[in-house]
Amino acid sequence: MTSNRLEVTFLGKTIKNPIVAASGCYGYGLEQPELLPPEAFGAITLKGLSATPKRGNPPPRIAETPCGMLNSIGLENVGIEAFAKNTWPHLRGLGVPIIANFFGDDETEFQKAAQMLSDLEGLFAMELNLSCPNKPQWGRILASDPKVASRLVRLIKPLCRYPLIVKLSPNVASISEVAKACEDSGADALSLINTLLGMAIDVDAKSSRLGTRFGGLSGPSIYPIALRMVSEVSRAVRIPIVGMGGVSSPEDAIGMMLAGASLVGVGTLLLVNPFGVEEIKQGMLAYLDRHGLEKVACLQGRL
Amino acid sequence: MPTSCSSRTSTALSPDLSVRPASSPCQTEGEVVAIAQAGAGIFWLELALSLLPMSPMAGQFAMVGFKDTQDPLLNRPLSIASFEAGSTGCRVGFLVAIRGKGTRRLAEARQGHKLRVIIPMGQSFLRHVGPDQRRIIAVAGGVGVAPMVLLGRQIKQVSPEADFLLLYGAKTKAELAKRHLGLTDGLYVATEDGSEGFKGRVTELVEAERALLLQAGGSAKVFACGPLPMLYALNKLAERHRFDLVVSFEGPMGCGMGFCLGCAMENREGMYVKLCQKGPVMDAKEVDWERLTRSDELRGAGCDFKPA
Repeated sequence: MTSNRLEVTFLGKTIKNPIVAASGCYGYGLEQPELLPPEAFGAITLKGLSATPKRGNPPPRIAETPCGMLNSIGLENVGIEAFAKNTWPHLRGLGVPIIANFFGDDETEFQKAAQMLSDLEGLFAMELNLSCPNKPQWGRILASDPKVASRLVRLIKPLCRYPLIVKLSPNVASISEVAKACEDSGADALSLINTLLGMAIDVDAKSSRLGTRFGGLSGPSIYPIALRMVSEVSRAVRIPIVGMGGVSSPEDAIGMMLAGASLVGVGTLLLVNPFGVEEIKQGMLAYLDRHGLEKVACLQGRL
Repeated sequence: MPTSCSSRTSTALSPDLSVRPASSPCQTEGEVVAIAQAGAGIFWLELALSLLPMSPMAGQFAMVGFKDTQDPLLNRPLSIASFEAGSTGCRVGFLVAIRGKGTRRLAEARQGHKLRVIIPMGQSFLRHVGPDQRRIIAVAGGVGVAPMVLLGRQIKQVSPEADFLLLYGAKTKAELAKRHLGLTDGLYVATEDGSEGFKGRVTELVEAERALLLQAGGSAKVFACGPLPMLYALNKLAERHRFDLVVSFEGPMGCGMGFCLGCAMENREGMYVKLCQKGPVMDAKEVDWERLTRSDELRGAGCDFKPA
């Protein structure tokens, strides 16, 4: 498909379509080059990276729930050094904008990760993960408090050579307040939502169905919440938004854009239906035809 | 003839079975062409695929899920029991044990029902077979017999001289899915209640028949698939009697494609590996058996592990 009707502009760059692989659901982009090629996406957000390798949480790490799933992966990753050496050389030549999601167990590690990623040549953007619900090391979800979020963004932003996207958590009293605090502290864009903190119990074993007590809920069941939050945040800030959370159809993706998202993240969908990316793009084109619209960018924030 | 899903798979009908799987699955639609009870709580599910995938190798699996509902959401990993590709199309068969919502719904599928299929995935048993392999002894517990059905058919292509024996155990005769094995020679059956064949666990049958290992001049390999307690006990036997053991694990998976890291399993070095890509078939020597059983890592796989 060579049509440019799906083109959008994000952080000053032309992106060939608004569908972005969400962090943690597409690995490092090279796992399934034939089944789901990186080129299918407008941009790819990598699995969260940290300055040093992280082991992640004990299994079981996945529990299915009605129209969704809980995960407690715990940000297992190879570390930025190994990534830079083994993966980045293969990824950067693909011509797909790459967003590197990153985190640390403490402030120093956050800073170190930001510096290390800034040393890479050719990233598109960096996504600051303040919203993982599976990091007991943090003591809490960092993005649950506007002051904590603001402090970290101020600390990290000056170290970033690439635009900084801050990923927000839905586990919060007012997501708009956190969004505003991040914008005021220098964030270039926001992505939302991360997973909702949830739980599943094996009643026969009388224990959690995850290796940890709680996990992050994703999938179609969280879409209405994500949509509401994107809509709310889009009215509170002026910086662009990557809207995500349970998107699994063209209608869901279009809804996200109408609610104010510039780009639409897909996560759990990729784990279930890799064809879904193509289905969404085709469905968007059909929608444009049906509504007599020239470009998908026209949809943004029309609600 | 279904169209091939990529140029690389167009010659996939006679794959080089000795090489490592290229791990290049394709996503397609599978129409239910046969569904039948194969044993108590076990169903035979056969799908006609609308694309021709790379030919699966014994031990590999497919992710199978529902196109018409988001509940259950995730695809289920199912070991491939049969695969036939010809001028009229391509069919793949599975044995499905009812374990929960997803597998129950699969068992309720009717002819004509269309399912999502991603196939083939993971490592196979065949890469552990040398060309001069004299004997393969397959040990299966319950629905773990599924990959052994395919293995029995493919083994001759890899190692023409090898003979293939299957030691197959279940709790009772009713739970044996024998009709779908396509195997008459070399089948040894064990049931825990003695309702058919050897009375006892299949691991006890292995112990009783360990002369089978020696008859091949010590070059026999044991391939096993079944519940974790069975694999654990078999590994103990392998250590005691010094035979090569290759096992296939059954475990919960999020995506099966290597994206989610949901199927992490600890190896002997204490590192998490992805069961979907590093496994499900692994050399028993790579597995940290004590940690695996202690930490109950494969919980959800339907195992009620009780250390012997």
